[in-house]
Amino acid sequence: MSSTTPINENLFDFLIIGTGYTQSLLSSALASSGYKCLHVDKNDYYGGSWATLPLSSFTAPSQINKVDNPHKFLISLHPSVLLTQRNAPTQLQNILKSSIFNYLEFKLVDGLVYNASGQFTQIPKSKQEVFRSDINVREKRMLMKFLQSVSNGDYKSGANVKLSEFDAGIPTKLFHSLVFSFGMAISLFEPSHQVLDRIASYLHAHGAYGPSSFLYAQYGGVGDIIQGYCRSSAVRGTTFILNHDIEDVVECDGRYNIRMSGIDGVFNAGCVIGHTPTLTPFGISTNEKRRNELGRVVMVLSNPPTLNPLPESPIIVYEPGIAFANAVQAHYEGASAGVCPVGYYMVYLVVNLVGNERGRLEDLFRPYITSLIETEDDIAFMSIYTEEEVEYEDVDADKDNIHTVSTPITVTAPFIQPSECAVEEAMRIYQAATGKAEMFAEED
Amino acid sequence: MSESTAKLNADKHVEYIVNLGRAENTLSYHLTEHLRLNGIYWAITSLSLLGRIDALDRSAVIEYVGNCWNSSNGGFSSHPNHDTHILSTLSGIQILITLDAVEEAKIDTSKVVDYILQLRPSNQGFFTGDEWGESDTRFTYCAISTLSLLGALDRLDQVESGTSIKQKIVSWFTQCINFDGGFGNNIGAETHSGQVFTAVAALAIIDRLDIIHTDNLSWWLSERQVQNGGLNGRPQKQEDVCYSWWVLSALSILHRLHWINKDKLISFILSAQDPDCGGIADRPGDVSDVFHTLFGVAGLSMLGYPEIERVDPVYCMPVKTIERLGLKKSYTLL
Amino acid sequence: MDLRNHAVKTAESLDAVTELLKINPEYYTMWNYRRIILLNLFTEIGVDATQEKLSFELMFTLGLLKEFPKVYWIWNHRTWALETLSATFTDEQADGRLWEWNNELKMVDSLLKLDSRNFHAWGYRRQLLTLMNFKEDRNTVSTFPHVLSRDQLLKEKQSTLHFIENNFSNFSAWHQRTKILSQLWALDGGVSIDDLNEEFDLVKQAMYTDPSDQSVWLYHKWLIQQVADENIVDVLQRELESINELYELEPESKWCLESLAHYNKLLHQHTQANELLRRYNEYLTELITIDPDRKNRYLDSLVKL
Repeated sequence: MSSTTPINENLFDFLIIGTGYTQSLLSSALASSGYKCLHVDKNDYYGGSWATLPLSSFTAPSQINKVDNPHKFLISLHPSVLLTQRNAPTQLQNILKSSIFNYLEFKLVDGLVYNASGQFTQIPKSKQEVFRSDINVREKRMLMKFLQSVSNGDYKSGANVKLSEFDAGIPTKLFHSLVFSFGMAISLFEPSHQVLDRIASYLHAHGAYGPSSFLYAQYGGVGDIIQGYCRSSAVRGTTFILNHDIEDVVECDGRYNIRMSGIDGVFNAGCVIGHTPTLTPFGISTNEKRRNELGRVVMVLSNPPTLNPLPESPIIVYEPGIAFANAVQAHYEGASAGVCPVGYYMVYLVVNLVGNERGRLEDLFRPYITSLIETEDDIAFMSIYTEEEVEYEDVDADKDNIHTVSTPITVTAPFIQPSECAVEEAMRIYQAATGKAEMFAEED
Repeated sequence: MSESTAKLNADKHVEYIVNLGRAENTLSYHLTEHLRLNGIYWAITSLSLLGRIDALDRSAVIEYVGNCWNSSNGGFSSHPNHDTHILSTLSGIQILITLDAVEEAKIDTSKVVDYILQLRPSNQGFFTGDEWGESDTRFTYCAISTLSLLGALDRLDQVESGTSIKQKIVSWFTQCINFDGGFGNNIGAETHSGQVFTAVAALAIIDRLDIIHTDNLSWWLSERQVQNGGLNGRPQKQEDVCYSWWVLSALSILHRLHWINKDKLISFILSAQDPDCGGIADRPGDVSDVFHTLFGVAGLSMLGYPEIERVDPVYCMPVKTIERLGLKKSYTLL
Repeated sequence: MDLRNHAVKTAESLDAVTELLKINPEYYTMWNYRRIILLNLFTEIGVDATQEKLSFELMFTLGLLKEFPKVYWIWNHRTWALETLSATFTDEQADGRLWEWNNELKMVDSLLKLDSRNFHAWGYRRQLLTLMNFKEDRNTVSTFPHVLSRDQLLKEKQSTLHFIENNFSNFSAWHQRTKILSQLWALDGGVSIDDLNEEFDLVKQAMYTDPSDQSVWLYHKWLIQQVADENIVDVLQRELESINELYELEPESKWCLESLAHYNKLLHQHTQANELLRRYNEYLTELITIDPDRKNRYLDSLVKL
């Protein structure tokens, strides 16, 4: 079969390239709207850079590796949690609307812990927590007042300036503890509205599904959510081809004939969706817009992180300047999240790198790692690596049957913001590609 | 009235109350047998304050009340064949007196008086609701109010182990006073507007308001008014139309009715009216009932809302009825 | 109803009553009838069976209270069942009685978790604590809180703190604390300034956290009433200073102003300094603007200088 004319069952409305978060959500949404999709990925697993993999398949070099059963440990390449806002177009809304929650289990992430001046603290967020906390009464009043005004959105009338220039009317130290913990900011150069909005979301989200503002998808976080979308897409008729790359593409009558390496036959698609660099066979050029480097650590600990009696699985924010210039954020999950055997903990640290920090990652991460462990022996596995993020110029303006998935670089809140952006990107492309306003609108 | 141009929809309320009496075949009618006599009292008093007491069939009401009277123990039950209770006994007497029909109903009031008196455990200064012994300031008010309405208050002068019953009552109420000047339903219980009314009104009837710290309690009562003009029953609780009665009546007896914002409260009560079916609810948007209808109307009456008859804050009956009996106490209405 | 009219007092009639009360727990006549049937049955069965029946009554009413937490008659019946059950325990069964009471305390706390202001539940709690200390000697005063032992008072003090820490807008808990501490201090022959200061600090934390919550100011008012004459001037001056600091942060706070006015007047009673009355009037004048709903109260309260 070397004919250039595809047979009928190889005719698709959409070709989706890559199984990252945006593509997988789109795949599920398009399939549930009745579109016929071909969804391909050159990897033999789902999720791309968002995947959750067994430690045995993790390819970044490790500094320590004493794990006996690496297949029992699940590593998330993109550790993320969900903010439990009720009425915003967030990840959670789509998870609920798409019914993939049937495939998923969630657990509450216990809370935010802030590390400043070498101390771990939990910043009080409610009237009762403020009341019980041991900060002085004057600060209690200021904190309550500030939280109330943020919660009511009162700051919106003020100027949108950098955090460093924002006049919160509370002591600077207290303000910083709020923007770095509740706001999950990575530096004081972030725009104030963006961070204050996130603090407001955090406060509003608290209690929506229990005593926390965050949910964690069991068995691997966002990687498991992506698997859920792919599965629901497949159930609705999408053809998945993993572990094969695109070999060549021929444009014909405004549609595309696609050949996959190692697979006989030709697939024909009317519309193509993919991340910019995967679209070069379709004539899309890759002009780099900006670039970002993340320093990441993934560790397996054989003892609980030394935060006791603080929460079981918190998000930890380290103030900027401890070693790295930016705030370092950490998260860990244990056996209760289904990611490792009992007694072990999967620990993630992430930071936006600046200057020449890349060359000194191990040294710079050292104080953060030390703050979490009793002794070096507790580290059963550790990998310290760099992730490069590239944002490309949007060049699909002149082709309305090609949609480039832009993956915005991580500029803030690494456990929250990138996945929110990925979902917003999916919603944008869905609208552009179908003319319909809302994904999963047909479902209940 | 600044924020609302709403008016009292008196005709609708009369219609609503009259229709309640016609609902005899519904389930809810049967489920509310336990407070039927209270319900009729609320209805009669509302209609009377609205100047439409003729809207209910007088002789049918009297006959029904008569059937609720238990001639063997002297008390009233909430419905024929139910057990007697002090709550229904006061309601029964209030209805008959408002209709000026005590004789017509052939009630032996001396038996009613005896029924009330035996509800006080010996040597105690409180009354129970029935022979099962539940104590509550409400019941002591019911007892005192009933005795007063039947002209038998002097029975409380009887001396038992060296002190009169009245003194025992005063001493019991004194023990119920909290630091905020108010009263709960028992010794040790938290101050509650409803219980404050029962204590203040009971003490007013026996002329012993001297045990109350007027300014302290009135201060607490005036703090019941919340931002939207409504009144709540306790600190940090939600507003409810029924407190327009409990709080205002006590303030009126203490001559401090002007310590709250009258216009805002009137607006709040009027906003809780049901514009379609009539009646007043606990708060705007809720389903109306005859209990809140009476206490909304009675609240408006004390606030001097036009075209409503004056209500007596001690007895929750029309002023003219209480004046007829010569029982009027000192109080201030707006 | 027919069964009741014919004075039937059998176990079968009890089941019919149970069903009826599940549908309409307000049906007080049926509760009365239920007790009549039970009391009659108790004369025919042994102590064990009686205790079993009464335990069922506790279980049955608990179920109903979860659905109808504000129905007087259910609470009433439960109180009766508990009192009757308590009376059946012999001296050898003291442990059983203790177990039953502690169980009741847990039960009522679980209902308070659902609604921390339910005054039926609080009343029942007080009744329960009273009953736990009830002495056979009926001549002793058996009212709350006088009847409580020192240990029990300390436990209750802790438990009110627990309620307050969970929600300090829960005035019912503050109220309970006033009763418990009054009695505890009375037993101790007076309150030490340290104990008082501990309370002042607790209430200060709440005051600064949410100055608009009147529960806190009410409790503060009670605390001031507890201060002995020899300390009152010092304490009032210290508290006025602290409230003044809060007032500077919250110039719109009615409760700050209200308390400043009240305590300045109180201080005047002890020091006769006319300056305090002048300030009192100034605060009241400010309150007329900030809290116009109670304008007349403030006008009535102004003093002639």
